[in-house]
Amino acid sequence: MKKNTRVAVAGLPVLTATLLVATLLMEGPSRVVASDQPQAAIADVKIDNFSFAPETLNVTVGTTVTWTNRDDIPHTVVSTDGIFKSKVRDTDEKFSYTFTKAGTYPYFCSVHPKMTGMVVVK
Amino acid sequence: MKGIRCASLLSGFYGPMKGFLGTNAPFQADLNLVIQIIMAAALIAGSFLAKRKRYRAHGICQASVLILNLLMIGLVMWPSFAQVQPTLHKVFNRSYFAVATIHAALGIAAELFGLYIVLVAGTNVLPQWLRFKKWKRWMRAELALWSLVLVSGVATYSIWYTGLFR
Repeated sequence: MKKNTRVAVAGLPVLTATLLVATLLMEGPSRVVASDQPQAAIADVKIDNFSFAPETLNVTVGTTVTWTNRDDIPHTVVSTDGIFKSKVRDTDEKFSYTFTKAGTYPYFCSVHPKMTGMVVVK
Repeated sequence: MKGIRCASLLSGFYGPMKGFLGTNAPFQADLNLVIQIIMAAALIAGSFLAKRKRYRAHGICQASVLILNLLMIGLVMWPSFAQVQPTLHKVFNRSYFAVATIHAALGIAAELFGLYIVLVAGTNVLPQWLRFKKWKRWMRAELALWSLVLVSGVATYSIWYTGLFR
């Protein structure tokens, strides 16, 4: 009985160490897997006071960009190359577009052509 | 061809161009504002022509302004107004839509009233019972209405493109 107890006590640190190593080994690969998985990226552009903020937005392929009109007058978001075009967005209304190809996408507000912005997709 | 291209430019067919007055307005809105101010000056000049009894020149001047304004309504003002999709709820709750709607209502009234005056004064197409005789009163009323339209138009431009009165 005594011998069994001694074996159990001696085995406890070994068991703990084994569990710790096992846990670390399990956490390691899972972290790698998590970072490898493609995530649905999102980015926001605020429209306010006759401007887009940020004026130039850098995103990765697959990112959905949402423009929100925080101004008290209507605006639009129109791609210079005709790739995307929103309807008139009034205060607090949004427009989203998902960029599936790398490139540079200049855009403007068709109501106020002086308002310009750019999305750079890498 | 040149005329079509010019009209297309005004309506933004080739994409909206930036204005030249330094505000956030598109080219056609700036051009419209300048033309409206010139037209107002022409109407005042035309009224002086009537005072000097140069009625033919007076008629040509006022009728030309009226026709040019009709073009500006069709090519610039109405498309701009329709673009922002005004609704009754917005008109009654937002100065942005309210001022433009007041301007549109006054503008349509002034244009129709002006066309009526031109038809009465310059043609014989209207029957006798639709014709008036107190020329001065009707034409002064039209000039006063046109002034209100101009003021509300400048206010609309200011709210829409400069952010004033916000």
